[in-house]
Amino acid sequence: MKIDTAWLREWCDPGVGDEALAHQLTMAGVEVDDLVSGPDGSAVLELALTPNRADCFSVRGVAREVSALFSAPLAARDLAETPAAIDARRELGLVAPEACPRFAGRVIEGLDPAAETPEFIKKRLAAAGERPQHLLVDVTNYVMLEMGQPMHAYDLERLNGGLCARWAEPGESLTLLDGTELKLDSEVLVIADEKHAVAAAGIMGGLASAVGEKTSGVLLESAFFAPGAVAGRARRLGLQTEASLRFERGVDPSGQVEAVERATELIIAAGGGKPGPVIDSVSEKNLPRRGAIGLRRGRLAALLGVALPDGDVTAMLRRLTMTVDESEAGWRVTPPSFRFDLAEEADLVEEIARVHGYENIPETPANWSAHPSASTERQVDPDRVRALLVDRGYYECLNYSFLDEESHKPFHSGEQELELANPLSGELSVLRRSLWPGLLRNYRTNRDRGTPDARLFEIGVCFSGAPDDIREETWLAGLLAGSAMPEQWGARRRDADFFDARGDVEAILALDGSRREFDFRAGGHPALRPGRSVRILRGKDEAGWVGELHPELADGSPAPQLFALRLDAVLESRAARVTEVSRFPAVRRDLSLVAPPSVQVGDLLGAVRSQVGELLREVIVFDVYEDRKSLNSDARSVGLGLIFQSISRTLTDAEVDRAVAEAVSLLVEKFGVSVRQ
Amino acid sequence: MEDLQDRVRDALAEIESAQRLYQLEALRVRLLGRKGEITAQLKALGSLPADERPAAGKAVNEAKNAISAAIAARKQALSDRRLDEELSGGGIDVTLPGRGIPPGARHPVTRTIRRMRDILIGAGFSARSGPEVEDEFHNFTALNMPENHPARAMHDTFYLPSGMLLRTHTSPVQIRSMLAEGAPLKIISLGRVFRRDSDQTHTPVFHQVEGLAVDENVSLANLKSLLHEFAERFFERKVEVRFRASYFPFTEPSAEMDVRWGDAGWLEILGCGMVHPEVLRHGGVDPERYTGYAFGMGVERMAMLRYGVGDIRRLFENDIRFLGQFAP
Repeated sequence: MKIDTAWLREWCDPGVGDEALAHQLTMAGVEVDDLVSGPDGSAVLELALTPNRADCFSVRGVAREVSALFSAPLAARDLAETPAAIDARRELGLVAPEACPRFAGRVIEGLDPAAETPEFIKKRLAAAGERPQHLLVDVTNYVMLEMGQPMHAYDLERLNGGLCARWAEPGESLTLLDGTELKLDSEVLVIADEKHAVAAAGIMGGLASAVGEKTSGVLLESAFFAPGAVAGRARRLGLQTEASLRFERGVDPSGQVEAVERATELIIAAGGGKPGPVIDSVSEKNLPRRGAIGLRRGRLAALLGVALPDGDVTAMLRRLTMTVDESEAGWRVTPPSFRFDLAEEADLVEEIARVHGYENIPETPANWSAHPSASTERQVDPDRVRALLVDRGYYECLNYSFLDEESHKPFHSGEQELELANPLSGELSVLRRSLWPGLLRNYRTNRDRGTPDARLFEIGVCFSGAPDDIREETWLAGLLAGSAMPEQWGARRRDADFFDARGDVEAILALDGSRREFDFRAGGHPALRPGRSVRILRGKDEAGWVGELHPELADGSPAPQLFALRLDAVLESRAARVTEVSRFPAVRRDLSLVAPPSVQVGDLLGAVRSQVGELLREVIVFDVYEDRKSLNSDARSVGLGLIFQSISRTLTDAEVDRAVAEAVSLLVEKFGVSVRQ
Repeated sequence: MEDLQDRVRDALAEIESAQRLYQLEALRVRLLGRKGEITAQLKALGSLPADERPAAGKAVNEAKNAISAAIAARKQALSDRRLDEELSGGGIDVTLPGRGIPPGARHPVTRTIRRMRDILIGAGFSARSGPEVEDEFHNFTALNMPENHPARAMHDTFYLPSGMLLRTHTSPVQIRSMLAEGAPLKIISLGRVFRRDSDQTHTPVFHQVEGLAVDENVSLANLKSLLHEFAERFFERKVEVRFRASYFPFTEPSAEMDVRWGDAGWLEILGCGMVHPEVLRHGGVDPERYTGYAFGMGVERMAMLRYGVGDIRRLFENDIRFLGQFAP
């Protein structure tokens, strides 16, 4: 909302310059966004009003605030009451008094249809950003800006009898001033004459009854609509107007007649005409009532953290035009009718705080008892995972939680998409079930911008389940593409492959101190290449996947390596319980095996471990070799280093030899391997 | 005697200019050897008159000691130099870059979240989290924003067909925590939030850090103190702040905190206030016994100020050349 400071100063002069005025209003919560130069040289305040301060949607309202903040008197502006000159009147009915408890108005006849809007009104409307249109429209806008009461002017000849405020009939329609065709329902309040709806109450008037070039008789409407009867409707209809903005936040229920008088004065001065009597239909019991609110001295001091002198508090409340009675505990305060935002004690505390000035409240450190803070070993700190990946060359990414259906589809197993009801665009329309599409997009963006080698990861929530039962889990996902190492003189270039990715995954899994609890099983995920991907399990629970992107999804370039881990499964940990370290020598025996192509090294390792048992400290895979020529088949040569050690004694060669022999015969028997000599 | 002093001076100069160990050895033999010059002088002492002998003997011995010490020192220096020459002759080019994979980088947003979290945990808060898909009750109603409340228009909300929504702030975590844990309570909630908005200063996804302290006698003065100190810890310098009255449905009184930012003047960085009694009631906390304060800020905005990022969308492009400017 824009306010001409010259106009404001007619109502209340704070005795300071425009900058100081703007600063003080801003500090007190009536934010001045900008101070600009208006059409006739005076400064214009651009206010960014918060929804609670409907009372400041007018020159008079801001003047009241200025008066309170600067202890400056409000100009005494006696409104001239223009007596009725004719007896013309129309019925203004309260059919839905809970929604419209007050409907005031007046007929004016004999107007000069060619009358011009006075210059001062045009200028002030222009300063407020309103386009001058027609004397009657301009005056109602002017009165709204000045007094905060939205009004409407109907062409008397285009109305069928009197008006009333009622809920619309289902199926009823109305063409608004701006040409919008509204289909109404019983949630929308309308002003209707004896035949039709003529306005969407508190939002906009209808086209059929609008004033125009030939209008010589007018019916002014100045009503109070309950905020609840207007709130949300304008937004739903896509029609937020100056009127709806004010009504849904709350208009002073005692200001309707004043506004009619002010409009009468301005209209007659410019366009002549003879007014009828002021009509004021009221349902007293439906008008909002401002009860007294208790404000306790102790509570005020406790919330602010400082005790203010009683006299100061009383004076501040009175400057805000509250009715104040001092009581034993503090004050009994009745807010004025235009303050819809003041309902309980805390609201009054804020009034005191902002008039006193937030800058005048001390900064006092809290006096909390000192409790030791938590430091857990039951969970790996997610930041430890970040640090590990970053140290291994990864860049951390953050992607939106929603994306387009097309790029999402390959990354889940045909589940129903979790669609947003009101997405920003088709590109951002379904909730992500996987972090991979985001990382792939990041990789491709970087590649297209000349950075083809990428190690990327993201930690974030993924969604699962069905549209009516959405579940959330935090995942960690990574992507490796391009060269395994940056180009350098000391290492030969090779593409990052599955084992680079798996190595990073194993490093993450090792963070919990219990790597052995995870199983890697072949197979896995629709977006990964079969034969080059594994599922990771912790017990029976899926903990994630690692593998190469399915070639069909790889857009022609070499397929990146991907991994994803369910963060909860990865982070679960426990404090270590140490076992004794052996003081006896370790013995190593190397086995060179030739294994048929169907045999997987992981199976050999498992068999060796379970066969040898506790004397086997470790098995190392020191070589894997595939060469048709030297092996003369599809078989692979596998080198295993077996390290034996006992906790309680030095092992003899004989028992180690025996253990090796038993392991070998098991491998020969079970997997068909042979030992290379 | 004058003669001896000249000889010593010359000898020391020769020793100092010797460049090789064999030259030094030759000097030693010439001066101190069995037939050396100083040795000869020692031998000649016997031929002097008895009363001159002590003084002459002292002078010759001093000359001998000085020369010996000089030779020893020069010898050490020459052999040190020879070792250096031998080792550096071992032949690698130390100006070549090292081998391996250099570190990547953390995202500035998670980096900022971590710093905020650390600062606030140091002040006695503990971290809590909550769902990103929320219901109307926790996101709005319990926070004193009933249906049709004008403040709901300030939150452009993403809805799901089921009527659930993507949380527009992390404040629902405050309600959940109060209901689960009761008072007293000092928590921070950190995470993703969603608003239907996209331009140079808004992305539809962003992050918030919020704090809530509920206890007996928690005051606005405590809140001001905490947030001023927070700003100074975050920016790691003295910061001038101001608190302006503002409006949030879930706090009363409400304020916004601005920091003075050089030529840009006052910049708003966070919203805060005393928890509205209605919100405490929705959280199952007795507002007569307890008071509370709450504050919330946008992580992206803080990161942009801290690191000089001009356009919020850069934070979600994930360009390695951008990310690579942040420390690992």
